[in-house]
Amino acid sequence: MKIMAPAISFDTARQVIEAGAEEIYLGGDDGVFRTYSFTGRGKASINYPDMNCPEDELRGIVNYAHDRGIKVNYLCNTPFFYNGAISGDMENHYLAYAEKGVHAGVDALVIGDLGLLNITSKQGFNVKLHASVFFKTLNLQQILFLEQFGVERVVLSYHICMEEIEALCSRSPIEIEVIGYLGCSFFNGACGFLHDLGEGAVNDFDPGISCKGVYSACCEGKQGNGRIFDVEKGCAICSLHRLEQSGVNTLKIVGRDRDYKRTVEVIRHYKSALEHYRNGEGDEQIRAGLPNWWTKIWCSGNRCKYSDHAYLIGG
Amino acid sequence: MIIERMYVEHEEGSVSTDPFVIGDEGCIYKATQEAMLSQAEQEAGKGRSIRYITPFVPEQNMQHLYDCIYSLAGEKKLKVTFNDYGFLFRCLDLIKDGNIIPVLGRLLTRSIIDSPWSDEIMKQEEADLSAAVLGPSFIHEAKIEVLNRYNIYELEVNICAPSFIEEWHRMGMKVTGYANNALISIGRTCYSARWHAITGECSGTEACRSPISIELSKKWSRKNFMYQDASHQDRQRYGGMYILGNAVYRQQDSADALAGLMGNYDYMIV
Repeated sequence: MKIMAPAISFDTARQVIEAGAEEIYLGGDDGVFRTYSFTGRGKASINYPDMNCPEDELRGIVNYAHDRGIKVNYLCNTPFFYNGAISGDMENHYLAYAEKGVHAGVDALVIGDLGLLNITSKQGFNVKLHASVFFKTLNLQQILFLEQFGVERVVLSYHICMEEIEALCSRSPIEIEVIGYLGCSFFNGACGFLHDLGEGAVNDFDPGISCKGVYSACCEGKQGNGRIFDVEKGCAICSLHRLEQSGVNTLKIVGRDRDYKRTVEVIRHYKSALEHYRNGEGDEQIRAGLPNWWTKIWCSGNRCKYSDHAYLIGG
Repeated sequence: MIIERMYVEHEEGSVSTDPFVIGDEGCIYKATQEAMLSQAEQEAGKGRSIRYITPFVPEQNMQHLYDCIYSLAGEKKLKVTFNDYGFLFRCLDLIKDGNIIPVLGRLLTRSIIDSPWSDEIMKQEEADLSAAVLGPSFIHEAKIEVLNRYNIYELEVNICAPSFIEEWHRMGMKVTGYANNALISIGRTCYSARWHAITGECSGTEACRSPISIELSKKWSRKNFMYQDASHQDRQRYGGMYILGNAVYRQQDSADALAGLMGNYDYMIV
């Protein structure tokens, strides 16, 4: 199982590869939008004003990564694509953007929209196609549905449990990728509480992260106040052994927008944990090596990926 | 416009002849609830046509849901709303044999315009770019081509601008709206069960049937990376929202939709 890390520049690509990432993923500059993008996130975050790489930098990253045997996955991941009468050349803009990645030598395009998957699959690009987490894949039949478009890797939904991952890996004809770090409370690609699409980069608009909000709630006379939607599960370190044993191809560390000092630390801990498991060591030894901030955020709150079935529908 | 009525428990004795809607777009338990399926069989026997809304389908629930569809399909053509591409793929045999009429549901027709604040986000772009982005995802020939391969010629959507309905009609698609609510977001966790602290096996007849109305008290600010008291504007964005099970909806006044003032919908679910 490989660990895949985000990158937003040559320097961050170098950092995450040196930390142990065996694949990286990134976005390119589309030359179209100011703050929006085709990557599935906005161009800017609270930490970085521009997270997408211009063409020459992209080529430099690909060459650097390939020299070290590292694959590069290019985000064409917007989950929403409208192509109505007034959309003009938007489809051509998307294809030009995808071509930039192909010409730079990336290994795969990561796609989150059915229509874009359909048109991309017909371009004859010499790259692999990955179906992103925005497709919310939970079952084998969807893997087979996506395979029809030439998809060679599927990213499973955040909201899945270990037994389901094991069952899918045992029967999937194509590669499986799972999210290893960070999460969402709602289905990505089906959530209307949009955030991190570049809002606030130019204006002051800040709707916040809705699933982390505190709400007052009322139902038939019963009232309550709390983080009613916050069910994020963010850490998979205790599941790494089982994930690898089940046949998961790639584990994704989410967070192109995050502080890269922290991302590098996360990669190192995941790499170390995986090595410990491969050497036969157990969970307790691995958890003992985790920093305080990690255990405070994830372990104390029982925010463990893939092992908690509480309130999970169909789980 | 044809009005279709959602299943209500204890509807025995109903004299309505409107098409009958069962199932659930978000929950496999609600979508396979026995009393509902039994009622549906009876109504089908009386000649009412049925729309069966199916949700996202975890692997272990796939066969059971397929069996429910199969047993209802029978001789009378059953309309089935798909919210999971995998389940759509699974039911291809039923589609090809003409036993069911497939429709694409709201979980799959999700669009940037379903967000209460997508227009605010896109204000940062030039007006023409913003307009080029702010539309329904399934107004896209490349997607319609895929749907047509599965004999899908109807979409379920949140109420949206009449001009979009016209575009779909030009593309040969029929459009179904929901008069009473807009789907805002959905997850795999039952937020209702969690809020009520209900544990144990679920039969799909629990507290998820009663809406939990919500009001934002504090937002987690992305800009300031901290909790802030919700402003009046912040709270307005969540106005009318409620939770049902694993889904968040916004209430809408159905009158205009039913009067056809919101667009020339082919079907309207109430």
